Amino acid sequence: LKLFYSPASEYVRKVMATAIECGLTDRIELINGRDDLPKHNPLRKIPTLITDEGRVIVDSPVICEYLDRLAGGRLIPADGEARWTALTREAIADGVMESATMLRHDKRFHAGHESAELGERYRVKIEAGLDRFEDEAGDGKLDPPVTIGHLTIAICCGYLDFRKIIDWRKDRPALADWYEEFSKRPSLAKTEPREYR
Amino acid sequence: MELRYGPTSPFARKVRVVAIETGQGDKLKLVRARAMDADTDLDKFNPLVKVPALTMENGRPLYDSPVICDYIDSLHSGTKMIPPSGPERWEALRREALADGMMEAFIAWRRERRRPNTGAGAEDAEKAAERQRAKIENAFDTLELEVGELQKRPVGIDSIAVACSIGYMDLNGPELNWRAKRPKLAAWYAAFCERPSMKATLPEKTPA
Repeated sequence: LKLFYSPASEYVRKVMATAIECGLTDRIELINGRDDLPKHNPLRKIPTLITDEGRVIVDSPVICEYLDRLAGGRLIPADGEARWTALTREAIADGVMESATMLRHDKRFHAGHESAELGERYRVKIEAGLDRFEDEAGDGKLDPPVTIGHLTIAICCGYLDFRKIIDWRKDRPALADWYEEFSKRPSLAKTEPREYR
Repeated sequence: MELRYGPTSPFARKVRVVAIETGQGDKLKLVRARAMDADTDLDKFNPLVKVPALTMENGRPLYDSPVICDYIDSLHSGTKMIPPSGPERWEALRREALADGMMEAFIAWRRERRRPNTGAGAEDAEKAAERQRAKIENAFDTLELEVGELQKRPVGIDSIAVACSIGYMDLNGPELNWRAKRPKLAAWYAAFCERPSMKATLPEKTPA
């Protein structure tokens, strides 16, 4: 398995954390350069995974599912309520990260005249997603078994810290406590984001 | 099941086409919703305030179009839109992600072009918009090479996603003029649009 990679990408972190949870890290060769990426993925996005058969897998939810199936299904329940809960949590946490990225882009590309309206729209999504997770943490719904949903929520919180997007801990004590404990897992502790050099 | 959808959303259209193609069109109660409406209640169904948002048969919310399609496809015993396993599965999901990603690049490109930018980041913004445009072109080129793959099955999650993305871009970005260099894809798309599921879900143009 080969993975197009960056240590700063939150979506790569999802894949790396999944690989650790699934015991697959020894099988993955990391590719830092981007020269060959367009050949495999016309959208030039990382993470992009190349399987041992040379098959291309893109988009972090699909890559995580591929790895999870290789390992016999540790993080993604095969069916039923548990599957839909896990995948919806993953999608919401991914969506919060997307909105956070849009906020960053707006600041970078439109410095001095950021759009208040767009900014507000992204902030509403970020806050509402986090509020959902706060409720779930408070109700004990984030207790084990651990799924891809849990990993993605924790990576989302870590990303908001890494990019200093908002002070998400304010008014969210249950989520903050849950994150504090959950991020001690090796899959998260070993994949803390850092700037790409 | 209730589906909150936007009449212009290609991702909502994907869900509706999957429901129709799997004989479950009448199970979906369609509720029109727009994130931009002042009195929208979409946030009650999806904290990200986005369509499509599904309420499952047990009343619980389900979100993100790939996940909703996966769920709807799990509810019937006919031919699956998403192959359950093997190389076909990963091939279909890769192409679905390509179609969805191309759509996202198009939306980002369009948003950046409509926005006046004279500030310090203007040059970066223009470069970023050009990068999105390049992604769209590369994705079209890749799909042109993969038409043979698309034709292997009459319909599947990947062909549905590709057709819904193209439908949106045709309506909102005719200047892309993508058909000029992709005759095979153009012919495949024209034939695919004849399916009743596509005809029943024709989009409206997105207000500028």
